[in-house]
Amino acid sequence: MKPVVIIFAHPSPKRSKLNLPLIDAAKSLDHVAVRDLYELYPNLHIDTQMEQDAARQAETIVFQFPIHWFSAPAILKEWQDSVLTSSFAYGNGERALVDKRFMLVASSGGSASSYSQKGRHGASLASYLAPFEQTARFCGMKPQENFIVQNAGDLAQYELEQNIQAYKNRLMFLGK
Amino acid sequence: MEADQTFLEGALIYLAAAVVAVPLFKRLGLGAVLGYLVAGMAIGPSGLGLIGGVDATLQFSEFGVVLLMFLIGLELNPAKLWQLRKPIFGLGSAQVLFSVLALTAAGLFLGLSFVVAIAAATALAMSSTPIALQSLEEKGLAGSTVGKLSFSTLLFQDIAVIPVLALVPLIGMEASSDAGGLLGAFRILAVLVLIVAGGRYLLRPVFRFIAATRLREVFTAFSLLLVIGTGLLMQQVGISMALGTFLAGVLLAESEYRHELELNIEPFKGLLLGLFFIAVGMSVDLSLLLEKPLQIFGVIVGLLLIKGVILYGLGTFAGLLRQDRMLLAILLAQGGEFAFVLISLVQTEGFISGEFAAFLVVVATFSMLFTPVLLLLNERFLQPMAGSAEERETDIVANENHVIVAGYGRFGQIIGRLMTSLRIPVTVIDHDPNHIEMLRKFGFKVFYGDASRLDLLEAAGVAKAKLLILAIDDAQTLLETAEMVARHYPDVPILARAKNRGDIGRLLEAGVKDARRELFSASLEIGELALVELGYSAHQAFKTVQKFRGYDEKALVAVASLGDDEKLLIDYAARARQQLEELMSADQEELSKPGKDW
Repeated sequence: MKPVVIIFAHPSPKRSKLNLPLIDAAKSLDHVAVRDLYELYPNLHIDTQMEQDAARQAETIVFQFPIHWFSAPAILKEWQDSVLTSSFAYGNGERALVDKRFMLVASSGGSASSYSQKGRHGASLASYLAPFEQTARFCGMKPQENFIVQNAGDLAQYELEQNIQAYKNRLMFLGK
Repeated sequence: MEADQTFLEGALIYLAAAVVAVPLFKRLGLGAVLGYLVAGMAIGPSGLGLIGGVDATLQFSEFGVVLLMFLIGLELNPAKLWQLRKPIFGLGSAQVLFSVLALTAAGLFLGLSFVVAIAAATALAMSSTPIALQSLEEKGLAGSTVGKLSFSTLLFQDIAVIPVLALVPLIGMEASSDAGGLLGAFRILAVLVLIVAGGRYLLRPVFRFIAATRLREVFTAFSLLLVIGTGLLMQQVGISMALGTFLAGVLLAESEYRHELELNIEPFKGLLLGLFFIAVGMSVDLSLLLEKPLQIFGVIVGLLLIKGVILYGLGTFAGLLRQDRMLLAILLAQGGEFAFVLISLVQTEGFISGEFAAFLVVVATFSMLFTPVLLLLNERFLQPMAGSAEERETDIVANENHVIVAGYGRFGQIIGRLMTSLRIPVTVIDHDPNHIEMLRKFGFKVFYGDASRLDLLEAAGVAKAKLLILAIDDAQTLLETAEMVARHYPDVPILARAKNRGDIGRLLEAGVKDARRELFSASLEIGELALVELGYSAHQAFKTVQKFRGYDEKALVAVASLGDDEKLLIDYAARARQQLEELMSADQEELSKPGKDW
C-alpha cells in the first residue's frame, strides 16, 4: 500500500530528457508507486480491474505525462475512459476516488512565453490542462497545485537537477 | 525363374514394381499396402515369374517388421507403455483366447482332429502387425483410440507367441533341450538390464564419438547395428526379434538420441516393410487357389468373420464408437506373419501334414490381402452409413444461426472457447472420437467425421450457419473443403486457418473470406517479446511489430495477385524484402534519435 500512485504516460521515455529522470526519482521513493502505462499496456488495452484497485488504495493520484498536441499522450485518455467508470468513480456507484488528492505533472516542449495569449499557442498551459482537473473534480478528488515544466526539451543540466529535486520534494510532501 | 539372378537385378525388379504399383494404387485410393501386395503377386512365381527366392526375401524383409516394432518402441517410453497395460492384457488376451477357442471349434466342426484344429487356430488367431499398423499410419489413425487398441492387441500377440513357440516343441515328438524356466527368465532379465544400462551409460559416449567423425552414414550404420544387435540378442534368450527390439525401443525411448535413431531407421523400415508386403504377395500360391478356390475362399471368409465378430464385440466392450469397432475388426481379422512361423513349426514337429500347412499359408496370406480391400469398402460404403446412424443415435439436431468449427484440435479449440464464452452457438466437427466424447460431455453439439464430406457438413447444418471456420490440420483437405462449401453454399462466409503464405492466396481464390497463417501471430508475439528483451520499451516493441505485420500482410496480398509465375515471385520477394528493411530501419532510426523529446 503506497499512498502516492503516479499514472505515468510516455510513449518513448528513453528519448525523454526530463520525464525519465523525474520518474526514476519518483521510483526511488518508498511511498510512491509508479504505473508506467505504456509498459503495462503496450497495445493500449488497459486492465480496468487492476487500475481501479491501484487507484482505490491510493491517497494521492498523480498524472505524469509530456504534453503532446496540447493534451496527454493517447493512453492516458484511454485510462480515464476505461478506469473512471460510472460504477467506480462517479454517479451512484462506489465513488471510490472521493477526497483523494490529485496532481498533474506535465512538461511541454514549448516555452512559457509561447503558452500565453500573445504566444504561438494562444493560451496558458494551465488552460489546456483544465479538462484533467475537471475530470478529477467530477470524481470528487481535490486537485493540488500542478507541477509544470516548460521548454522541457532544452533544459540546462542545472535546471534539470533543480526540477528533479523540486519534484522529489513535492512527492515527499504528498506522502505526509 | 532364373536361379542365378544377381542382387541388383532382383533389386531392380522389386523397386520397379513398387514404384509403378504403389503410387498407382495410392492415386486410385486403394492404399499403399494393397499396391505392394499386388506388385508382389505380379512379379512373383504365380504372376509373371520375374523373380525367385520368395522364402529368402520374406525372411529378409521380415526384418522390416523388426524395425517397425523398434520405432514403435521408441515412441513409447515405459510410462506410456504402462498406461497401455489394460488394453494389452485385457483386450489382447481376450482376443487371442476367444479367437483360438472359436477357431478350434470351427476346425473341429470341419472335421479336423483336436491337435490339428488347435494348432491351426493358434496360428491363425494372430494378426498381421505390419498390415494393421501400416494401414493405420496411412489413414493417420496411429495415435487414435483404435490405433492404440490395435497396437495393444498386436503387442499381446507378440507376447503370446513366446510361450507358444516354446511349448510346441515340448509337446512335439522330441522335447527340446532348451533350458527353460528359471534360468531362461534370468537370462531375459539380464539382457534387459544390459540394454537399459547400455542405453544409459554406453550409448551416449558412443554416439558422441561417432558424431565427432561427422560421417552421417556411420551414424546410420551404428543405428542399424544397434537394432540388429539387440534383436539377435533377444532372439538368443528366446524372445521373438520383433518383441525384443520393441522392448529395446521402449527402453531407449528416453535416451537423448531417440530422434537420431528414428531418423536413421525410418527409411529402412519403410523400404523393408514394402519389401515384406511384396514378398507376401509373391508367396501367394495361385495354383493352389485355382485348385480349390471355394474351399480356400470359404475358410478365409470364415476366419475373417469369426475373428472380426470377436473383435467387434471386444470393441463394444472397450467402449468404441460403432465405426471404430468396425475398423478394429477389419484391421486385426487377418492372419499374420506369425502364422507362417507357427505353421512351419507345427509342421516340422509333425502336428500337421505338409499339404495342410501349405493350405493354411495360402489362407493366411490371402486373408492379409483382404484387409486393405475391406478397409476400402468400409471407408467407401459402410462408414458413411454408420456416420449418419451415429448422429441419429445421439439425437443431434442441427443448430441454426450457429458457427461451425471444423477441426477441433489445438487450433479450433481456442476459437471454440472464445465463441462459447460469449454464448454463441457452436457446432463442432472433428474426426477424433476422443475429442468427441469429451466435447459431448461438455455439452457441445459435435459431429463425428470427416469435415471434407459435404453430407456431413449438411447434417451439421452448414446451410443455416452464420459462419464456417475451417481449422482442419491438413492444408489440402482444408482447401478442398473450402472450395466445396464455397461452391455449394456461397452465402456462408468462411474463415480459414492457413499453413503458410502460399495457402492464403489459394484459400482466397477458393472463396474464403479471410485466412490467417496459423503460426504468424504467435511468432510475432515472441518477436515482440524479443524486442523488449533487446531493450525496446514495451509499447515501441508492440508498435514495431504491428508495423511489420502491416507491411507483411500488404506484401501477401500483392504476392497473391502475381499468381504462380515463379520468376516473378522470386523477383518480387527479393524486392519486397529490401523494401521492408528500408522501411523498418528508417522508422527505427527516427525512433531511436536521441531525443529532443521531453
